[in-house]
Amino acid sequence: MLRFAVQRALSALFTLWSAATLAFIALRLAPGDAIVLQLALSGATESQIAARRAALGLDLPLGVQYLNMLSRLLRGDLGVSLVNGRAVTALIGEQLEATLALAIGALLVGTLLGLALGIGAALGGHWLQQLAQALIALLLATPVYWLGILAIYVFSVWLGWLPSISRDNSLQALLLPCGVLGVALSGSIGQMAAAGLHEAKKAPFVQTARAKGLPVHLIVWRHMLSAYGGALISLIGLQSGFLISGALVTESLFTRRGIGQLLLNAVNGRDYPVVQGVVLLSALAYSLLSTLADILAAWRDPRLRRQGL
Amino acid sequence: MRRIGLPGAFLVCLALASLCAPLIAPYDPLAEVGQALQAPSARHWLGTDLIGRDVFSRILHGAARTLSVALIALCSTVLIGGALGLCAGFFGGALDWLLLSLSDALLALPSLLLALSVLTLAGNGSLQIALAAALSGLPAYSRIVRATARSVRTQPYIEAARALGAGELSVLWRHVLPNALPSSLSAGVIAMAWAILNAATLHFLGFGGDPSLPEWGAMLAEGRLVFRAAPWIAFAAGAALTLTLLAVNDLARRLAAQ
Repeated sequence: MLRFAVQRALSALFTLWSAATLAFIALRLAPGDAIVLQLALSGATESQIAARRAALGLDLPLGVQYLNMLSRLLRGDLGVSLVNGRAVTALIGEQLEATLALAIGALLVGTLLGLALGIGAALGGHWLQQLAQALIALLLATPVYWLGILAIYVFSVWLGWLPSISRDNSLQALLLPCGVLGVALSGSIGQMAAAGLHEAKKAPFVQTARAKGLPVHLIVWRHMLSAYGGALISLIGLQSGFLISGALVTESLFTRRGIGQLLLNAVNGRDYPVVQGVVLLSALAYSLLSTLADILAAWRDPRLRRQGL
Repeated sequence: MRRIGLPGAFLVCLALASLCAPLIAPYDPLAEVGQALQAPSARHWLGTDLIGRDVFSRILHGAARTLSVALIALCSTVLIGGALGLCAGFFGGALDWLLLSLSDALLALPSLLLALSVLTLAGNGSLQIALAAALSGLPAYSRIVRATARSVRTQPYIEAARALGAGELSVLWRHVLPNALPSSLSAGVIAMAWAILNAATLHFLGFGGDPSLPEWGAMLAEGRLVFRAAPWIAFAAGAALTLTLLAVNDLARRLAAQ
């Protein structure tokens, strides 16, 4: 088990290193010098640009720049914003809490609803199966902001229950954004849960339990979910990418402060260090979540320790 | 026809309609042809928008944009991802390792963030959005082609072709490619769905240059502002997007089931 966990963590570290390298290469491959372009946009003179490049270490050889970047990353330094000169980590830190509150709430809603949809689609009666499958297909085809526009109309405009602008982390302000993002997330979780449970239905031990005449709910809860729960956990971990990008869009929809707002402003201002910082941070979040999910899954289900790597 | 069924028929009709959009659209999608925010009527089937443009004509022209993004994504994913995946799966070794770590790194980045970084570096026009969106499904697709190519590599007919003296490249071209690509077509169609979704999201978020161009995501953003007074704008664009994505996803499901 420990060996699996260490192996999995090492491969996550390797992935992070490749993502950082990719970000470094992308900046150098981009047409024109991104830094010069950004400074020229804000009306800097030639000598100011040269001074800024030197200050950022951009006139050093590429190899040195690359090593500098890695060593800064290892120290948790993501560089400074080109627009306001503040540290990227500080900028992200200010917004992190708001985004985390949204993401955690949405994950909770999405997992519960997704599992319910998946169980319905794989194991329900004929009508329930049809209904759950149709709902999953519909959710997978509905972008989160379109769902959000409808939800705002129903709950804020029509019923007047919840605010359409989410200002803080109070329950009232979080309910609608978390609900919208969670419902959007439940489509893909439901799809994977249904596929997993469909496989589980064919397993010999489930057939045996059926032949013994166990009631369906006992087969589902005691046999199928305990045998396939591990795999389900790691599949939900894979959804963290969707969760992150969905959170950014949801924040923009509910004019909520958070990483999304920071990122969109940075893209508009072509502030590459901030964009790169958010991207690397979400790669870190993704690796962390999927690694934790895999380790948790392998702890629940020893069969998984041999696969995956 | 039965293979692709209803979703395929819908997509073909949509493609035809978008190709003929200049002929069949009742109005110019960019011209102000009526009063602003008029409800759907016989003159304007889906009403008019914020400044009096015909929503139905804009939806039709928007289909052309959405489908061209989808086509660019499908072609570049199949060409680039297919070539990389085939070579990595077939030859193995260092190339395989490189592709695996590259796609691992790309998979760790949410595809929307990847697209946003491309826009930061390359500027935000329609073409950049199409290319950025096309990246969304590439890593997953190349992984699937790689896995298929690996499993095809060990088939008896490959061994037979080698025993008959066929060179490595000709085995790859004549035996592995025709057997690996069709079975990963479904993954290519899923990559297309991702591209449509991400391109619309980028437009919704306000990227893509001129906001007056007819695009479904941009129309949703506009419709959201006046949803109370004129819900038909957002409804038309949202329904078009959902129907298209439903059709593409169902097409992928049908292809995978074969």
